[in-house]
Amino acid sequence: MLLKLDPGSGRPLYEQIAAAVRRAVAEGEVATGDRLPAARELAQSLDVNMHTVLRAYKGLREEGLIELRRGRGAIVRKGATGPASVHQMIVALADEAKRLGLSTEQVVEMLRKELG
Amino acid sequence: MSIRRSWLALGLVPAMLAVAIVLPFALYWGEIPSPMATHWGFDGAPDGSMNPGLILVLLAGFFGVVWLGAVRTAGRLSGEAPSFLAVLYGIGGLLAAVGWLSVLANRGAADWMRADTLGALPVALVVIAGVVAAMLGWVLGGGSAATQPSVPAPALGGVDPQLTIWAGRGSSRILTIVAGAVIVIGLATWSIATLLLVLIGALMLTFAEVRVIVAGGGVLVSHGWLGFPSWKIPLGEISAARVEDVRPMAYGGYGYRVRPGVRAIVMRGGPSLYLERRDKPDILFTVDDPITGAGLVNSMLEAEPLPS
Repeated sequence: MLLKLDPGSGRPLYEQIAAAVRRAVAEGEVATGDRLPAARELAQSLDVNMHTVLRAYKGLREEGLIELRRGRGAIVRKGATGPASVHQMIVALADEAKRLGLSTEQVVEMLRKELG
Repeated sequence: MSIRRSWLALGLVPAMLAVAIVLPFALYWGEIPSPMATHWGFDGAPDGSMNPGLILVLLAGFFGVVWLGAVRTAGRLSGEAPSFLAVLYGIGGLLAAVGWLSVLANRGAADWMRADTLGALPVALVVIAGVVAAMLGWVLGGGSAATQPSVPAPALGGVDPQLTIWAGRGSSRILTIVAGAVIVIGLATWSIATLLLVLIGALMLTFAEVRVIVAGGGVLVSHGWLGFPSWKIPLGEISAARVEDVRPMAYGGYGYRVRPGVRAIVMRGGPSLYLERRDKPDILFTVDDPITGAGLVNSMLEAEPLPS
C-alpha cells in the first residue's frame, strides 16, 4: 500500500494523513477490505505521536471510509471509493478557494447552483 | 498451487491417506474387541478403551475436516504450498499410523485389557510415518523448486520520497493455524502443560506475521498481534533495495533465518523485499508488493546526500 502526503499543504498532519488515505482509496491503490497500517506503527515510522494517526483514522471512520475493529485494525469499508474521491475534490476545492480569497458563502453558493 | 498438480496433491494422495486410515479397521474388524484399547500408559500397558467405531470416526473424521479445509483454502496459498501439503500429509500419516498400530495391538485380544503392550518402537514408527508423509507433501508442493532471479527495483517515479509511505505485510497461514492449534490443545488438556503450551502458541502467533513500513528516515519492522518486537532500520544503513525470490528451504525454513551475509524473515515462499546493508548483514522480508517498497527505498536513497 502506497500513501502519498500532499506537498505544500498547510493543513495539520492528521488531516494530511487522512487525505493520503482518501487519495489512495479514490485512486484504487487501496481496495475494500484492505487493512491500513497499524496506527502505532505508522506513527513510529513517521516519528509522530500515535494520537495524531488515531485522530486521522477516527476522522476517516466518521466519514464512513473505514471501520476500526479491535484486533483487526482499520479496514476499508465497502463503497468507500466514491465518497473518498468526492471528499478529495472538496479538499482541493477548499484549498483553491482559500488561495483565491473566496468566502465560504461564495463557494457554497456555487456548489448549490451546480448540485441543483 | 498449479491446477495441474492439485488433483494429485489435494485429491489422489489425501484419498489414499484416508483409505490407509480406514483400512486396518476394515481388514480386522472381526478380530478386535469392542471396546478396543485406545490408550497406553508409560509402562506400555493399555489403560484406556473406546468403541472401535467411534475411534474410526474420530480418526477419519478429523482427517476429513483437515482435508476439506485444505481444499477450500488451496486457492489462496501463493508460495505456501510445500508447508501446507506437508502439514496435511503429516497429519494423515500420523493418523493412519495410529490407526494401524492400535488395530494390530488389539488384534486377536479377547478384551481390551489383553491388547499388546506398545513401547517406544511403535511411537517412533508413528512419528516416522508422520515425518515421511510430511516430506512427501513438501516435495509435491514444489518445495525444491528453482528460484527466480533477483529483480532490481527502480526508484519510484513521480513521488516525493519525503512525502511517501509504503506499507507491506507478510504472514504465514500455516504458522497461524499451528499456533492456534497449540493454544487450543493446551487449553483442552487442562494441566500443568496448559500454560506452557498457551505461551508457546502465543509466541508462534507473534512470529507468524511481519509488517514493514518504509517512510521518513528508514524502514520499520513489526511483528504479530502485539506489534512487538519492532525495530527501525535507518536509511543510512541501507545501500540498495531489490526484490528477491525466496524458497524457504534455501534459508533453512520459516521464521527468522540466519545465513552468511543475510538475515531472512521468511513467512512464505515468493518475492521478498531485500535490503543490502553497508556494515551489517543484508536483510529480507517476505512481504507483499515488495517491488514498490524497494522502489521507494531506492527513491529515498537517491534523494539522500551520500554519507561523508
